[in-house]
Amino acid sequence: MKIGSMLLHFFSKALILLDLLLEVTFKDFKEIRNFCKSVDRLRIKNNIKNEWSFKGLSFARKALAFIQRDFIEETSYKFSFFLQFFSIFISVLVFYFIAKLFGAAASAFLAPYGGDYFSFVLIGVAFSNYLEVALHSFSSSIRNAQMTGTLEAVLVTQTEIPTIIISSSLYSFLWTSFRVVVYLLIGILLFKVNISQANFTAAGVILLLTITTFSSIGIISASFIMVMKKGDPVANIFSGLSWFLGGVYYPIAVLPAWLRKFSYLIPLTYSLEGMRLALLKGYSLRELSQNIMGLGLFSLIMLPLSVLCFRLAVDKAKRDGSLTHF
Amino acid sequence: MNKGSFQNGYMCLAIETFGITKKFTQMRSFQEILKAPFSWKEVVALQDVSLKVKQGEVFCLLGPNGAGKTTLIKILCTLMLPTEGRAMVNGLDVVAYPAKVRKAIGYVISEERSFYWRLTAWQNLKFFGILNNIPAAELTQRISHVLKLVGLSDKAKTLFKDFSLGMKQRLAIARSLLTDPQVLFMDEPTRSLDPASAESLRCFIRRQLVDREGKTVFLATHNLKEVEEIGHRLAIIHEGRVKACGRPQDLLLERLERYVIRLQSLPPDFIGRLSQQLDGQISIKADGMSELEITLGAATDTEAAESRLQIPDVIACMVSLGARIEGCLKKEIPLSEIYAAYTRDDKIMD
Repeated sequence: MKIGSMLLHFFSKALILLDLLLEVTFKDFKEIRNFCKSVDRLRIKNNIKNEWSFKGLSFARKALAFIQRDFIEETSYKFSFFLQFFSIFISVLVFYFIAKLFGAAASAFLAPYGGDYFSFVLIGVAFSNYLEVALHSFSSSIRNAQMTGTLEAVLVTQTEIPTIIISSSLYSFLWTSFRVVVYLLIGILLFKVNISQANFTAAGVILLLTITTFSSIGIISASFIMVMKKGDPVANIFSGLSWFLGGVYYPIAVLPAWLRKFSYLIPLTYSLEGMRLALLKGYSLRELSQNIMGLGLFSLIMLPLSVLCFRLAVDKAKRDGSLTHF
Repeated sequence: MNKGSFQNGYMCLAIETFGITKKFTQMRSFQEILKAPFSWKEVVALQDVSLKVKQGEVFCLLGPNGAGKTTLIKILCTLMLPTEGRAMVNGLDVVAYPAKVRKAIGYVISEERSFYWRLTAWQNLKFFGILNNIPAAELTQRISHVLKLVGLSDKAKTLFKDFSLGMKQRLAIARSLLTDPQVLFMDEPTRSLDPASAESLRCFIRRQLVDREGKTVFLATHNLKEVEEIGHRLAIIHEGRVKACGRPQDLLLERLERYVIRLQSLPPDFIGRLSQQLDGQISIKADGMSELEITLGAATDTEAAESRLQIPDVIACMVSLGARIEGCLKKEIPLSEIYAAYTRDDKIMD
């Protein structure tokens, strides 16, 4: 019960932070700057010594700095930036015609999700983006910084390594969220995907648990990159298994019974099933308890494990003197 | 004004290292791994390095490429852990208190790729300022100040990719000054700069940063001119070991002494006989028909200066061989020769 309330508290804080970040990134940087300035003044004036609130604020400010940096860099490559929208549109079109080809042939397997293959696969493809980002963004942010030479300059600042790693991948998560919204909007507006029954609260909880679980695996993957520099086995194996067994393109019900058992060892299975049921069928949190419990359990095991792995990897890299090598 | 750190009421040293040793595991070929899968080859990058750097001085770490200069700086900047030994910056142990150490230092990274090329100078400094916990209310003022200090105020809105090499280097210094640190680490700051830019940068380091602002600068270089121009003290490092440490003139006295001796005339085969008499302990060079340049302690032995042959001994020997001496002058030895004597390397820059 206590763990449950702690989790809820954590997620509510994370949601507020995410909301703040989204608002700030795409609305007005000036507002957050003024906000930070006023909080700073308040802190100095009142001599606030609440370390945790200061740390939280400091993290938010640093996270924003990373997001702003990545946003400026990404948008400076204008052609590539706009090309991404085109690729989303093309992939939606491809799945639309594949869905037309299947027609009602697969409706027995798709019945729990409303029977429409296009809606099924659209959500699968859109949300599996989170898996890819979580698995690769942490390690690629380290690898890129090692390759470009900025890692040393960042590591010598007064920012701790976990903050650097988490903040470096925030832009990718925000961008993925934006892509998911674009996917869904194209589906809803152009191809009549029906999400009128959607339970967005339940979908939000599933999404947060999904990000936490996938990020833990991504941090373990980043630990490998920190030490091995290249050829991380975690991301490759996990990504392959997830695409195969997680039910991105097809419901896991089509898999043989013995193989289906392995699907339940993959967090993506719980995530996509929960997301589809929340968005297409409007399932409540109670009805999604199995998926939430599954993802929660993965988070509880993987998150501390990932932190431990990362700490060990950083220690080893510092001992070997290979922190900035590539 | 020196704002050095105090501990127990005493101003502590800016940097202090006690027997720092750093060993790296060498990469092995597939063949070597197959031959001996459980054995590792170790390379010693630093061996028992002990140094003391006072507050407000320019301390130069002089050594050839691969001597271990960057490794030592990385240990002091908390980017690497030593295998053995202990290092303190501003009285703080770099292994036990890395965060506090990073607060007290600025690291000038000469690598131009350490900035974000598609961001402006201002955006780059703002990013690093935030990571260094500079309050938002002070950040703008601080960035303006450091840009003015390095003479880049008018380039604040210029993209980093459009900067010249000299400007990039100055921006690296500006970045390291954002937090107004007491100790600055610089790894070959004038590398790849043209002579005029290098000169202006050296002048800035010594006059502005050290003489005016009282900062301590720990500078790794293989450029002897740099050491002569701005260094208060230096350590010569070679193959991971500190070969000598002190003021340039002290190192000179400790290692080499050179005199020009004027004779009425040079007796036949005088140099050969003198050299034989003194058992090869001196280096003799004839400078014209009547002048000899005598260098004492030129051999790279490790004897203490006291037990070395002194100039009165040489003069007495010369007189006994029939020379009539008109005068004797002590001559300054260039740093390059001292460096060569310690590193036994003739390939010296500048």
